[in-house]
Amino acid sequence: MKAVFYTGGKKPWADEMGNRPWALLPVGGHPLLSYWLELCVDLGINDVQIVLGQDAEYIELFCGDGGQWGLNIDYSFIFPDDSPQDYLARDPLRWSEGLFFLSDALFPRRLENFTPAGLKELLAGCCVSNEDGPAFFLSPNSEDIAAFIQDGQYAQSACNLPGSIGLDVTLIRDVSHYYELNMAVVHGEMDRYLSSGYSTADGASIGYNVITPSSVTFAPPLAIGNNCRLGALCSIGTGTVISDHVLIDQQCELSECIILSDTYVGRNLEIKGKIIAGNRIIDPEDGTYVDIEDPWLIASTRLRKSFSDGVRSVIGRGLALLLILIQVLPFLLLYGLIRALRRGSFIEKSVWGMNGRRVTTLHFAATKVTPDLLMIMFYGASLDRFPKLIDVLSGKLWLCGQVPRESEPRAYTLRNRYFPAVFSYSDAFPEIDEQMDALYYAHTRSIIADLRILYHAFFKRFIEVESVATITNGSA
Amino acid sequence: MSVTCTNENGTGIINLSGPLTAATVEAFREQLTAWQAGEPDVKNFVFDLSAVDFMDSAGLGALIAALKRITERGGDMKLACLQKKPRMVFEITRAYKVFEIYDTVEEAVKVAGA
Repeated sequence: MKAVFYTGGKKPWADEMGNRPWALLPVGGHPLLSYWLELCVDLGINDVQIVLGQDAEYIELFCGDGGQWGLNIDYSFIFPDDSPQDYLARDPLRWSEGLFFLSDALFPRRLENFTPAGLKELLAGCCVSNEDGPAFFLSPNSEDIAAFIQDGQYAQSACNLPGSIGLDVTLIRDVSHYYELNMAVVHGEMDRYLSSGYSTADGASIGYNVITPSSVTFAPPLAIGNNCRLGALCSIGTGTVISDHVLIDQQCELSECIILSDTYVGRNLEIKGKIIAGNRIIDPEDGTYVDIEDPWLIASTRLRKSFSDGVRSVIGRGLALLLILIQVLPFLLLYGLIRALRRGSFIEKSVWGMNGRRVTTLHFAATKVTPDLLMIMFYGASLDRFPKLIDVLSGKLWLCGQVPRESEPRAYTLRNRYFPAVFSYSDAFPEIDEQMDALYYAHTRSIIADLRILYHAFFKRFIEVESVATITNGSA
Repeated sequence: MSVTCTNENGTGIINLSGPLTAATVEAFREQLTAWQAGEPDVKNFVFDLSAVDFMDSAGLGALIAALKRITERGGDMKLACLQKKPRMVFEITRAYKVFEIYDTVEEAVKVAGA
């Protein structure tokens, strides 16, 4: 028997919750698709064909070759105008030995009387329909399969799951239903889905690499995904499901919530009965949502590459190359003199670079606070930044942006608001607070703003060279 | 952001329209301060937020600053007609505990004038 899962098609209710494909939305902390794959394992079906639609790369990244479940997973696409049944009809003989087909946001909900042994009854054949026809079909019978592929009908009269199995294949209709399902799972149904080796004795399930300071209070039942960081004095109440890559800042209170992947929850917030997806907060009662991109409240931690970022990167690298070509001879000459007179040198500094990576950059450190003519010329031509211009070419830093931080970026420098660069507003306005500088840049970021920074940083340094040299020497 | 201020029997009715965010708080603050300077006798205020469709932490901060200024002068400040989306921001930040929020302007004026 082979399984065919169709993960394409638009689900308007899922679109409200961000870019995550509907098949990967978590139910009780696990992606919906993983329940389907685990069902295959329970039914002894090894070969799975996933028919991809939009966001195919996310599905492939999650499932891989199926080794995680002991399955063989292959992928294929359907033509834009084709239905999933059309895909099956391409090679009907391939499924003649048995077919398990799923094509909608169905959740295999395990009821109170569910037993794994009872699942085997499904192998006799069953079908569940949505408004477009059968969305869940399982049959070992080649005639039933042929009829299903040909006209989307199931030959057997009983077209529902037998109640004795204790399985209800639920079609997720809307965001409210999705929320209710999650809450039902974490409020007592979760242990029906756990594999052997796991336990819900304390009502909680916590994933890998979760950092939990000692003052955090967890009130089970809850499910927390991988790579989460919860700040001090958080209180995570009942019915909270937290997905991967989530940051929850200090002194928050969350209960009856679903926090989807790549979400930052700001400090001292109190959130009850909501779905939070990136920078979007959704009320499951009526689907009302509000998009907030505010590092004091709710924000997305996912790096969003935009077209303007690409343009900015090309322009930045081009300008950096131009500056390198202009500066290379003066740099070699003046830096040679500085080294010979022991007036300063470049030291390695580890900072947070582009894309949240830790990088090493060279920082100029002078040996004397009072600048002389040599140092004034060196700073005035911004030659102290020469090695960092090379970092722009190698993709470690932006040309214009914020001052690179040595310590871990905090709330205001969340990944999509952190732009470490060679030049920043603080070069032209040394009195400006570093945090204000970073916030102002994140708020006003544009190519024009970058050019303004370059003008101020580069030319103002040249014009007001003596004061800049004094300040820079002092700070070094 | 447009701010319309009227004096209704000694109570300042402040109608705000548009999103109250980092980009608009300065305009809000300036217009409110200018009107307050011209109406020194008005102590109590009702902010009609029926046309405010979005608010961020800066907007919330501006309202809290206004509340602080008004109460320092011995006055009182009420909010009315909060839309669903700004209400969600008030809920998650616990700001609803700081402000008195009413469903209608009339109700808020009645309490403010009492």
